[in-house]
Amino acid sequence: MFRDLSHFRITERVRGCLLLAAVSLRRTLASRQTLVCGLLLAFTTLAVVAWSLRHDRDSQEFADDIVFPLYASFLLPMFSLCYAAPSVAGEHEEQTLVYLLATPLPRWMVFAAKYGAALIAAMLWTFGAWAVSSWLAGPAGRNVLVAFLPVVFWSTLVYVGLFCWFSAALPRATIVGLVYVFFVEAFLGNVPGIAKRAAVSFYTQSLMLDAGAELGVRPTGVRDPVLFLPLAGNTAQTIVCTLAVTTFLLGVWWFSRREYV
Amino acid sequence: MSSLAETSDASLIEFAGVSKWFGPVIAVNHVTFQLTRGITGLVGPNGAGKSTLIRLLTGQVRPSIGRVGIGGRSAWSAAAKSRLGYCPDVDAFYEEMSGRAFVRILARLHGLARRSAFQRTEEVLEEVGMADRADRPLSSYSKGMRQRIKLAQALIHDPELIVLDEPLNGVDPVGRMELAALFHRLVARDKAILISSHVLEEMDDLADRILFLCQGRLLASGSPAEVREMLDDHPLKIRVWSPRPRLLAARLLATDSVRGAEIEPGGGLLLNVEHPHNFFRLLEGIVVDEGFEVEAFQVIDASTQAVFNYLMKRGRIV
Amino acid sequence: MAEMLDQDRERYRGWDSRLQPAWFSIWPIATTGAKLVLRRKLFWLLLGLTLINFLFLFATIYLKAQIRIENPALTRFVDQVLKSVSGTGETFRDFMAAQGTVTMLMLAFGGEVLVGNDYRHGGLTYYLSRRIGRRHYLLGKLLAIAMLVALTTTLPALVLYVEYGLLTDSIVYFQENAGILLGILGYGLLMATALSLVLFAMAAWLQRTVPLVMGWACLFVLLPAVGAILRNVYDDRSWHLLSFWRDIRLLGSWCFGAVPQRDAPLMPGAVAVVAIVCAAALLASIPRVRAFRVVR
Repeated sequence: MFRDLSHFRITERVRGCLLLAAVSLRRTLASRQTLVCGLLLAFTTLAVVAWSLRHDRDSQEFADDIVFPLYASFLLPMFSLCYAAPSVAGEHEEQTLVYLLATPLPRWMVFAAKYGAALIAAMLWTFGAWAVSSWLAGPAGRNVLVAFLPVVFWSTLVYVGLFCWFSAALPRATIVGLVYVFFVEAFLGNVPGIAKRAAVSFYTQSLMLDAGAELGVRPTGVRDPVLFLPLAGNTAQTIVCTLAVTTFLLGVWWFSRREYV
Repeated sequence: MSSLAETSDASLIEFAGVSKWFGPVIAVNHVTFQLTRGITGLVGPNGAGKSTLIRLLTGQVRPSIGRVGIGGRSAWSAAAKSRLGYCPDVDAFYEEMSGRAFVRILARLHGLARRSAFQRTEEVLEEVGMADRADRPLSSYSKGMRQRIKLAQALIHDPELIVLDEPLNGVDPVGRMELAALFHRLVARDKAILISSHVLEEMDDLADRILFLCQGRLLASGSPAEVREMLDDHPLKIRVWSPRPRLLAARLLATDSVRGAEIEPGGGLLLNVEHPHNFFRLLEGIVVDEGFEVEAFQVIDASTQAVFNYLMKRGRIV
Repeated sequence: MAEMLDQDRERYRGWDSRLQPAWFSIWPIATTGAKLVLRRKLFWLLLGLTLINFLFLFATIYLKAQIRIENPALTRFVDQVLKSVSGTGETFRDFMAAQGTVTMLMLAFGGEVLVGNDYRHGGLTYYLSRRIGRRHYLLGKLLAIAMLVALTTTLPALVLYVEYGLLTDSIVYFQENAGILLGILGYGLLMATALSLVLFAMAAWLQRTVPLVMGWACLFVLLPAVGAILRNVYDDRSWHLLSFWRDIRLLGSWCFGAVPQRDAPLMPGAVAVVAIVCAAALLASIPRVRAFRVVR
């Protein structure tokens, strides 16, 4: 009745990996994180609705008031952190990781499943929040809704990769991730000079400025090209893609090597 | 040195010169043993290295020196896990799930197809006595029920090697008997079981062979009686019942095998015996040739607990 | 011989076996909680970050005093440039408000250690199995949080106050500015009380770091953002009352006797908001302090 499981075939591994991803996704969406993400979205919606009460807004103002300070610098990393940081670290903390490590699934597949679940959950929120915010902002937001979608995708990919790597590598991944968000993203991301390139939000904003150039979104104010030094769209895209792949591979490598005791 | 002669062909687990340290702490120190079919007990005081040894075996950690193999493959590799079922000592689950759902998911992760997983889940839950109670959330389970679910997930994929870390913890006495019977059934199906436990009395009934661990070192391995035999400097205590205890005591004290004798209030004769093999041959001779009547005798300190105490006291490697 | 214990006495046994009232348990609960937080390396990092501002101000006060002595001609210029460091109530109020920002971050992380873990890992049962009541546990934990807040706000402010006074020519500074001392203590007490109540309530319900920090962020980042946007839309400063942190700061200004004129009409609203939030936090905390949880 039961196959010789010493020959755990590739199809069985893939099936196991997908099942683990599905289970992780279901558990993670049913967790308190989702409640809190909902709360964050509710407040954001409130802010956007309040902002849109004046009807003479344009996409530039939408970008300057909502997209850059609130969405790109805060919500995007926060939604990703909510699901990515506890992906491995949460299981380790709850001592359930031992069950997954005792299965014949290769470690990299276990990590990939966790990463996939976190990515899907995070994307549901980042895309959802983006759609809701830009729709509720009226014409100013709807103008840039579609143009910024690829940016949301890539940024989420990078953040989830980064925080999943933290999750695999560090014992207090959530806290380290939060320190990263509040200090590197919020603080370094706004300092003069090239120090801001340490923050992922810099590349997100560069991509948004590039995508929004034809839609009337230009680097002004604190994002003046002389002060902000945004990168060209292609360069920022290349860096973001590289970061997404690198952080994922780092997470895989780390998880495959680390002893979880 | 093991008291059992085993060939590496027949061994399922191989621990070869394994040491593991965490910073300055040596958790496992040059341990070598092999495991075959049957029940092997792993005993030792707190901090002896049992948990680390089990983690090495289940591929959670890698050895600093040496090799840990399961069926010829490194225990760290994913392929080795397919032959291994592990019941950890941690009391942790996906609490929001039912026991049935939890076991079923792990069955799927171990490579069972959906239908087989369903079927096998029911079989295993029946075997551990949880079939009628497995639909409640795990957070509502008692300690004993949680132990049974842990055991169920360890058996779900019918592994050849089953590692159980304190499996009877929190299980009631009736449950312990049921699970002990289960372990023996598994052995009858040609499984190798490694049980780590603090309850040494259980090892007398359960285990064919014991690994005695202390301060990271393997002090002895073998059945309790075999290990006991090797402890020459500890006289064996034997209680003998005879209608003429004083005469028997005087007769036995004249031999080299008996170091001391004490007549107990209940009428038994407590002997301190060296060289048990010689003593039993001698006793047989005395009973048959000289007509001494012996109603019963009992070896008091060949139990796991007694052997353990001696080994801990001396810290000898046998 | 068997002995009946008086169940109503709720005595707490001190280290020297003398029976003391249960209220004495509050101090060890508070110090244990504070030590749990201070034992973590990450919190030392955060504490270090909270002290950057303090060190900057400390050095600035010293620098101003030094320039006043070595080069009096430059004093007016330096006072103009560094007018925020003037030894007035506003200086210390602004310092404490700035410290409070990083302190809030530290508390968001600390909530899990101080309170959340008692719920997740069953530590609450140990506390409540002693001869103490729920109120003693609650007050002990609130005191622990308040101690951490004071460590990063009130204590550094007091040090700066003493430094400023000692670097003047006489003790007249202390005599003339005794109100600043009261202001520091008052604002510190207000911050400690409000933040400890809110943190306990949130940590008791959310328990884990991520939900706790997100909830914290909603209260201290997003809600003020909404308030700022609405203030711009309606051109009405009342919308700033949505910012709980700003309301505490306004009350702190009153402690220093330095309420900005444009914010004076908001004072009653600020008092109401802070009082309501603290009361709601307390009411939310009380039912959570139980030794058991019924699982259906």
